[in-house]
This record gives sequence, C-alpha cells and structure tokens, in this order.
Amino acid sequence: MPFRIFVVEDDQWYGEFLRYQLTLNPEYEVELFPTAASVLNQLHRQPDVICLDFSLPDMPGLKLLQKIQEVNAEIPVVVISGQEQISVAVDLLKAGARDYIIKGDNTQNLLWNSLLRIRENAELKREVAELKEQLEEKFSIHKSLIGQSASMQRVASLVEKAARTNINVSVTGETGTGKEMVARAIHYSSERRKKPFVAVNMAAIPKDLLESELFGYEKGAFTGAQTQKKGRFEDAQGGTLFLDEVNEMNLQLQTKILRVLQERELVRLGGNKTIRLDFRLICASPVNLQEEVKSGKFREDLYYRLIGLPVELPPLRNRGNDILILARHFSEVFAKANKIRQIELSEDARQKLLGHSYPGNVRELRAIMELAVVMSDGKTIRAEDVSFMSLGRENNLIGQEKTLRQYICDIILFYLERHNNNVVEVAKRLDIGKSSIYQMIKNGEIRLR
Amino acid sequence: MAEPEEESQPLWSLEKLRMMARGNEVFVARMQQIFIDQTALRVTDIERAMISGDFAIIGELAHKMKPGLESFCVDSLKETVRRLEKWNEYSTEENNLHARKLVSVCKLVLEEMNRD
Repeated sequence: MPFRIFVVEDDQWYGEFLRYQLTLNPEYEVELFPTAASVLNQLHRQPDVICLDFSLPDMPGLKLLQKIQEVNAEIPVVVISGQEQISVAVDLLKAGARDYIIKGDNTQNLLWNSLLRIRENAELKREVAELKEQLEEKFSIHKSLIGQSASMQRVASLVEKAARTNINVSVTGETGTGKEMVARAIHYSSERRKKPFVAVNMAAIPKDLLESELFGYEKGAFTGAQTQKKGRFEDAQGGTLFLDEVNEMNLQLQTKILRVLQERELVRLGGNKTIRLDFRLICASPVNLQEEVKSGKFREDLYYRLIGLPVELPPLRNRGNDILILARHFSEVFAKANKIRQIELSEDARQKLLGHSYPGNVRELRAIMELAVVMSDGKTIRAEDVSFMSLGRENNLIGQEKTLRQYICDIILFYLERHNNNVVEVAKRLDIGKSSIYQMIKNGEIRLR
Repeated sequence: MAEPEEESQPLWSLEKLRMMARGNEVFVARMQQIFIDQTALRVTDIERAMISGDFAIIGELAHKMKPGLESFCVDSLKETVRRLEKWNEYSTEENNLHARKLVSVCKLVLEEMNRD
C-alpha cells in the first residue's frame, strides 16, 4: 500500500523539487498543494503524512498545523521552512509538529529520515492495534468460556453482565478452573478493553514485597529504591486489576487495600502525593472467602468491598459433556501447533476422558490433551494415548461409579501392573488368596497387559 | 555556458541539480524552466518593492528564491540573500545595495540560461 504524502508549498519550484525527491522512493505517493485551503479540503483522504511550508500565502504554518489537528490529530505533520529561528521550531514542535526541517542542502536526507521514522511509528501503532484486536477476539466470552453445560452458561451470562458494567467481580473456583480466563473475558468484553489488564498473583510475590509491588514507591523510599516505580494499581489505570489468590494477603495489607478501594486513591511508599485511581477490580480465590472471614483471616469489610458480582466456576468433573468439548478444542489447538491436519478422538478415548475426576480441572485436561496429541498416531487419539498424571489411578477409581467387585478388580489390576504381573507378590501385598486373583483372570474380570 | 566572473567561477551550474536528479534530464529541464519563469516574476516584484522601499517584501522574496539559487549553484548571491532575509539588521543603503546585486545577478543568470 503506497505511503501517501501531502506537500503544502506555495513555491512551485520547491514543491516540484520536493515531489521529485520523495517519489524516488516508489512506495511514496506525493500530492502537491499550493495553499492551506486546498489541503484542508482534502484532509478527509487521510494522508499518511503532511509536509508543509511554514510561510504560506493564505495562512501561517502554525495555524494550519492547528487546523489539521482539529480535523485529525493522528496525521503527522512535518514542517519544512527556511526559518532558522529556534523559537519558531520550538513553538511548532510544542504545537504537535512531528518534525521541523530547515530548507538547505541536507533537506532531502533529513526529510527521508523523518518520513522513515514516521512510517515505522505508524507500522508499530498498526501492529499494536491489530494485536489488541486479536487479544479482544482471543479473550471474547464465546472463545474464552468453552462449554455448553448449564453451569458454564450461567457463568457466561454473569460475565456478560459484568462486562456491561463497572462492578467489581469476585471469582471463586478450584485451581485450574479458569479464574484468570474469566477475568480476561470480562476485561476484553468491556469498555476498558483498550486499557491495561494487570494481573497480580498475591501468592507468587514475597509478602514483604507485596505492598511496594501494589502501591509503588518513590526514589529513596527504602534501601534499594534507586528510582521511582509505579505500582500495579497505577499500572491498571483506566483498565482492570486482577488480584489472584486474595486470600493470601495478611491483615495489615488488607487494611491498606480496603482504603484504596474506598477512596480510589493512593500514596506511593515514601511519597506524599495523592494519586487518583480509576480501575475495575476483579479478584479470585481458590477458597471460600466467607469461611476465611468467619475464621478471622479475612476482613469482613474488605470482603464486602471485593465481592461485587460473585462468579463461581464449577469444577470440570461436574461439567459433564464439556469435558469432551474442551478435549476436542485442545486437541485441535495442539494438532495445529504440531502441524497435524485433523485429529479425532476415538470412542474409547472419549470414555476414558469422561471417567476421570480432574483434580487439576481444565488446566489438567489441557496438559492431558497436549500429551495425547503427541503420543497419538497423528490421526486418532486412542485411550492408550490418554494418560492421567494427577495423584495416580486411585483418584480415577474413586471418581467413577462402579460396583464394589469392579473396584476390587481395578485395584488388583493396578497392583499387577506395578509388580510386573507377579500374582504371588500382589496377593501377599493385598492380603488375599492368589487363587482369587487367578480366578478373576480366568473369568476375564481382569485382563493382564 | 556561464560568463566567468573575476575569480573564473561560473555564475550558475546544473551540476548540483543533475546530481539530485540522478540522471533524469527531463526533470532537470523542467526545473530549469520553472526557475526561469519564477525568477523573472520575482525580479520584477523586487524592483517594484525597491521603488517603494519595502524591504520586508524584498526579504521575503529573497527567502523564497534561496532554494532555487542554491540548487543552481548561484554562490555569488549566498551572502546577499542571507543579508536581505535579515534586512532589519542593515541600513537602507546597505539593503538597496544587496537588492540591486540580487536583481542584476538574477538577470544575468536568466540571460545565460535563456541563451543556453
């Protein structure tokens, strides 16, 4: 796509001279305008840059610059002038000119460099805008909250309500259920999506550093404070602050956080300037905060400040068919990442997945599917490709609904696998007769691998 | 091409413009024609302003002519143009002197260009 340059120059000779110099770059498309009025009429065409002469017959350069900015402040303006007075250059730069170039032997080089910088800057801005759009798409509600179970539909509905407003949100759920995903979905679906999303895990930061991390500090506030540093509250200005594992805060810090939430302002450590804050707070906890309040570990007044709109994420084992929906989603993601065209889940793999209890929830399922894709033959994921790594088979046994006899067979099979199918050894360890085991093998209740 | 001055320096030259044009003679010819047309008009305007003693206008015109004069290597007018741009730092007599030099050298340059 050509880089469109408007050159505003009343001197025909110099205008043609500039046009020629610029069009030596085949990517530049240059249009000449002899007056301020003629270029103002064409601003709707949104040039990529305007180069203007300071002394135009119908309008001073500074006034034209201001008028251009009134129409579209995003268009960069480079002033080219014979005026060598520094005060003129300073005034124009302060008024928003991107660059000021004095007409002379070196004009061409200076202008080319200036345009190069403007182009690079424009490219970066475009990239950032595209990345932000991708983030919004990636963390949109329908892409973040995958699942059709009634519990997840309820969660999606709450997330939509939260996104439409500015209310604080508290997210609870076991580890790996997607609390941060929910927080991001709310942020990127809200009016704050163009502003920062700042996530702080209260358990990951050493307790004696939490306060300085959240509030920031002034230079010299304490030993080691070599420079001033903004805290996470300020980093989230205009956007969303996500505090994960809020239950990890000690009571002293809870008091300070409460004040920030009440007053919406803070003072950095070692400072005396009050900083007004504007952010939405989303907090998450793997434990029930009400219980923490009852046990005196969490302040009740802070609890009521944080609770806002409560969103409870169900454990994966209670989400029924969502397990398969998520498994299919992850298998597609990892198949793509490993350059595998299309990968199916076999019926036995599906049954195996449905039978697991997922103490690690969605995070665990994701890890299981990543490994399964790698272990598969590239076309189909079978049951033997699916490995459960969390807390061993015992959890898997308990999570399923089986008869007692079936549980006994599973336990014996587990021990046989562990002890190389040594029936005598297993019988000794389980304190049962080896003939019972042989009988189960003969009946087909236990199939040796 | 150019009448040698006392120091045997040409009054003007296409050398710099040709270097900038990177061999595009069509462009060089076009720029030369624009320069001839513009300079002729400006010289008339300068002479008119000299009659009324309006050095602000002369200074502005000199400022506008500067890039063209530099591109055609009219080095003898470098200092003249600079002084006319800062006309309010000089006396009326000095300004008149510089304005006369500007007009006469420009007329010579135009004469040579048209002859060539």
